[in-house]
Parts: sequence; structure tokens; C-alpha cells
Amino acid sequence: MNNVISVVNRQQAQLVEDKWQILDVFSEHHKPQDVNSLDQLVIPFEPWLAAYNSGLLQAYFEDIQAFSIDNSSDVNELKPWLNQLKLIVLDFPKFTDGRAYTQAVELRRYLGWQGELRANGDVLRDQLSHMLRCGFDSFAIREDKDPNEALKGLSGISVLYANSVLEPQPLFRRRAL
Amino acid sequence: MYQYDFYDKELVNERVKQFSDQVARRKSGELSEEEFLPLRLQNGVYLQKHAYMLRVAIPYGTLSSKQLMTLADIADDFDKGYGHFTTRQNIQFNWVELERVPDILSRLADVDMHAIQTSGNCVRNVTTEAFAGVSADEIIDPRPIAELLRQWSTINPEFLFLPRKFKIAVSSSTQDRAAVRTHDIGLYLYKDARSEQLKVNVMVGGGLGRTPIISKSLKKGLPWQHLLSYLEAVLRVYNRHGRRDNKYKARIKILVKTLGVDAFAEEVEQEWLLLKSGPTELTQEEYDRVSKHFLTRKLKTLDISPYKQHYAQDKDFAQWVSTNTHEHKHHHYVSVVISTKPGPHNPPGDMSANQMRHVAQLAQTYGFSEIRVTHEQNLVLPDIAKNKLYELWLTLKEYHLASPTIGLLTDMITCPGGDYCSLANAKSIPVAAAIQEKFDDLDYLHDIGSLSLNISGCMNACAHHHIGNIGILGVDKNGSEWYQVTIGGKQGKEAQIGKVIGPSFEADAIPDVIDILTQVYLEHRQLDEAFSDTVGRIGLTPFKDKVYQRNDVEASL
Repeated sequence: MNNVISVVNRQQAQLVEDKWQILDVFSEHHKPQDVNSLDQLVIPFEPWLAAYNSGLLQAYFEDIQAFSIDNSSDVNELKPWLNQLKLIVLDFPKFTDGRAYTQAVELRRYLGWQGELRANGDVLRDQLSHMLRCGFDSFAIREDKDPNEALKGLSGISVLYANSVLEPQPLFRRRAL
Repeated sequence: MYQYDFYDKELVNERVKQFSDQVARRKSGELSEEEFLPLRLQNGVYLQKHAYMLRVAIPYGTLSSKQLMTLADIADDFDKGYGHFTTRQNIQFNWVELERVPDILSRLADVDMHAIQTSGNCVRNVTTEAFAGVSADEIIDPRPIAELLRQWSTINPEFLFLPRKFKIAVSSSTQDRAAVRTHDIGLYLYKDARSEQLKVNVMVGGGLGRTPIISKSLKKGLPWQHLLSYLEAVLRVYNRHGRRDNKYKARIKILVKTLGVDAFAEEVEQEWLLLKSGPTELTQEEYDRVSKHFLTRKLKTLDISPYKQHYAQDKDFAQWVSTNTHEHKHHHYVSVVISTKPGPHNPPGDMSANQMRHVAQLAQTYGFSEIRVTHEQNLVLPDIAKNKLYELWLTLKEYHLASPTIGLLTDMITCPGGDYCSLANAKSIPVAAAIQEKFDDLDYLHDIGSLSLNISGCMNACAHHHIGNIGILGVDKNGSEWYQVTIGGKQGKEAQIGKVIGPSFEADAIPDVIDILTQVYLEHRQLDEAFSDTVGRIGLTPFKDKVYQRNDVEASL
């Protein structure tokens, strides 16, 4: 994926050379049997799950490293595979569609997902700080935008009253009385 | 009043800088209008017919004299010398330039104000009633809870791109004066009879617009400590399942209607169990920290015999007292309501910069430098000593701020309508003016008594026409402006939606139609029966018959 910003240790953000590729192996253009290695491949979760449930999946396909999931899907369905995944990609089909913020919070807070969580799609500078606070730690900036400019969006506003994935204590528990 | 500390100040100051940069990037073309739109909306900036409009938040309708002075200065320096107070206790400036909005926001930040989330698909300004903390019928002061909610909802990152806007209102008096039941979430606070604990009845899914719905009970007896976690659960369920394919079906009311309130409540309950005892559980320390800003004032016992004398001797004063004052917790004090609807020359809700300055000054002289904004678009001086009331009234009269019409037919709620708003189908201000002209006889207005008349320029219902005793809705018919009339609506705990009386009218006919409706009411009213009760008892037919039998009322069939 191009234009990827990665945040390490919640602090250092940098533009990275990224090797992950989203591959819809169940589309017309691909066949699962043509895929030799799942290394660095992000597999769309919904068609994969359908194939898995039908029992037609070749065994090595259970060895998935990364899923992307629609913003209308229930992230709880990822639960059985969380231990083997390295990356989960959440989708912003439009930046005004905020469902993936909630998915991120669920993954981090309830499902205990510790691995990389990436925002993909209509990912823009002015929303990055919100995404970061909801638990995203990598961002595939929309292709037509300059990722170096987008980096500036990560800082956002320093004060947040409510708690977040990044800061689990709300301000009222931290405020100096 | 709530005083900003370091964190609150830092937040609004950083927000001004952030928006300033966003405006610059919009100007340079780095941000497209599509990308900029939600950013400006979440800073209160709309694009209207003729200019940008800025909606400034007035959290739960509370202003200091200093803040109102600043709003007056902004009206003079950035607008045409006036502002418009809204039903959600905010103020709008109708003639601002985008490039200068950061300067306005910066002036607001200097007096602990902002325009954050006064628009956009996020949690909006939290409202309550204008008499919070002072009303005689209050059970508990709603302001600490409203402030806690303001903080929690401000730039809460998970909930800034909801399916649609999300409005919360809080009420904690015997009478609901905050239109709680037409909000996405409405909160009724009360004290548990046994434990004396503050508890909350949570209502969900109210809203007007195209699909007017009165809210339903979602959760009863929620202990206040769990309010934030419970609302977080509501918003999470809404963010997950609310419709995004059709903006007119995206409010939470549609989700609740589709799922059924029980199924919705069950899903919220499941979500809430995961959060309930987490870090969002409110602490007594935090409640105390916030509520110390809203302490009940120590008011003195007064000699009110001069007041009683004036009241007995001056009929005009007595009339003004009966309509324009509200009963205070301390019976030597009252809350004074200042109408923004003195007559046809003044669009409802509008106030000039000079009038704002006068009110701010009077709040300093006669009150505690505090002013409130009402849901009905009027201003309130919350704590006025009765022995100063006559003097205050004389001064208000000098400034043309003593119109004794609060709660009467001419105390109309009116949206800016087609004169300003690009969504409107029809104008509302000229209709309000024509009604003011027709009903200029104070005695007749008092004969009719308490009656709410709400005028919206389109079905988005900003003036809440559905819950007016008489509601007027501007509609477009083949490019011309027509007005549909509803009767029998009301706000409050038993809020109800009015019913359409029949085919719509041209603007010119509206004052006569209202005249006929009030005549039928007076003819049928039993004792002190309220307008909506009379409609409930006798039905629409007697009203319809009289309105539509007249030839000079031109109805479109």
C-alpha cells in the first residue's frame, strides 16, 4: 500500500515503505489456488469467511496474516483469527462515514487487539488525530494527497475531555484539582 | 457560572488555531469544499443564501454580562449590528466572512466561548431550560450534568462522524421547558425518593423535521455516575447501525423506530455492560468540582412592600409582571424574561448589538451579571430582587425591551426562513411580522392567554412548528410560497404533534386564519382550558369549518 504513515510507540510518526497489498483473492480476476504465498497479503474478510464457512477453503488459506474488513461488518467475527493476524485494515469509504472509528475502539478495547490497525480509503489529514485516538496506528493516506502534509494532522488538539483508546482515563480522572 | 480552567482554555485556543489553518488551506485550494464542509460545520459555519453564517454555542443557554458584551461587539464588528438567538439557546450571526471567522472565534475564546459542534453530524450543544438553578419548580439543578456532558461530547473522537446530528437536552423541573421529548436523547433528572440519589430517566428518538416523533423511554432510574457510559453505549449502537444511505432516515429516531425501542434498548444494555464500571464512571469529586461553579446564590430577605404597592397601583407594571416574570426559588426574587419580539419591526429572536449591551448592563446592575437564553428565543435575567423590579421595568421600557407578551400568541418561535436560509421553502419573518401587526391589541392577546405559535420555513422544522399549539409550515408549490397550518401540538413532558387542518394558504391569509382559530378557541374554551386541550376535546372539525368556510381566505385546493 502507498502513502502509509506509521506511528511507533504512540509517538513517532513516519512515512514508511509498505509492502502490504490488498488482494481480493475471491474476485473474478483471482483464484485462491493462484496465490502461492500469503506473505504481506491483506485478504478481504467477508468473502474469505464465506468460503471458510462453506468448507471449500484450502488449508493453507487458514494461515492468513492480515484482513481488511468492511465498515458495516461486525468486528467480533474476527475473534477466532486475532492471534494469527499481524494487521487489520479498516475502511473509510468516505471520510464522513465514521463507522470504522467505532470498529477500532471495539477491536482495541474489547477484543484486545494489539497488532497493527490501519485506516484505509478516504483517509485525510484533518481526521488523523481522531483515528489515532480511536486506536489506529497506521494510515494509508488517500493517494492524491501528500502524506508529508498529512503527517501534520496527527497532533490534533492536545486536550480531550473524554477517554480514548490512546488515553484510557478521562480528563476528570487526570485533571489537577 | 462555569469558569474555564487551563484545560478548557487550551482546548478552545488550539481549536481556533486549527480552524484558522483549515480556512487558509481551503483558500489555497489544498482543501476541497467537500473536504472542508464538515470541518467548517463542526466549527459552526454554514453557507446560507447571501453569506456565511456562524452559530456560536451558548452552553445550556447561560451567558455572563461580559460574554453578551462580546457577542454585541462581534455583531457590530463582523455582522450588521445584530444577532439571532435560536431555539437551542445559541446565537447566529448571519453576515460573516469566512476569512474573518477565526478572528471571531479568537474573540470568543477570550471570554471562554466557542462555536464547536454547533453543527455537523456530531453531538451538538447540550441544552436545558433558561430557569435552571433558579426556578421554583426545580427538583435539582441540571447545569452540572449539562456541563459534564458538554465536556464529554466535545471533540469526542469516536462520535464526530455520526450518521446525522445528535441533540441532547436536560430537564429537572416539574414542568419541562427544554423540549426534552423532541431531542435525540432527552434526560429527566430527579432525586430518588428513598436514597436521595440523583437519577436519570433517559428518553430516546425524539425529533421533528420530516418525520416528527416524540421520544420514548429508554432507561429509567439510571444512577448519575453511569450517565457518560450509558450515553457512550447509545452513541456506539447508533454509530454502528444508524442509516447512512439516506440523510432523511439517518437520525436515531428512525433507527429506534425500525428496531423497536425494546430491541434498541436491549442492544444498548449489552453494550453498556461492557463499559459500565470503567473509567468513564463519574466521580463525586468531579461532580463537586463542576457543581461548585453553579452554587445557589445566597439571597437576602427583602422588604418588598414597595413592590407590592407598585404592583397594586400600576396596571401596566402588573401586566408585565404577570407575563414576563417567572417564579424564583426565593420568593423575594423573580426571573425576568425579555422578549425579542416587541412588534412587527423586529424579526423574532433578533437582537441589536445595542440592546445586547443594555441587557448585559442591566444584568450587572440588577442581577449577578448573568443572562440566559430561552428555547423560545428570549433572554432572561435569572435573579432579580422584587424591590428593584419596578425600576428595572422602567429602564427596560426605555430600551423597548419590556414587551409584556411572554407566552402569548405573539411570542412566536420563528426560524430565519427564506430570507436567509438556503434550505427554506418559504419566508417566515414576514409572516411573523404580519401576525404581529394583526394582533397588536394587548387586551385581546391576554384574553387568548397562553398560546404557542411556531413558524418554520421548511419541513426541517427549526422553529418546532409541530409542537406549537398553532404551527405554521412554509411549503413550496410550483415555485410559490404556501403555508400549512397545524393545531393541537404542545411541548413539555406530555408533548404532542399538531394535526394539519387542511389545504395550505397564501401568506396574506395567515393572520386571518390565526384570528379565526383563536376565535373558535375562545368560543369553545372551558374555564382556563389550554388551547391544545380544547383541540383535544372538540377535535379539528369546528376549527376547520370556520377557517375554510370563509371566502376571503384563499386556500389552495
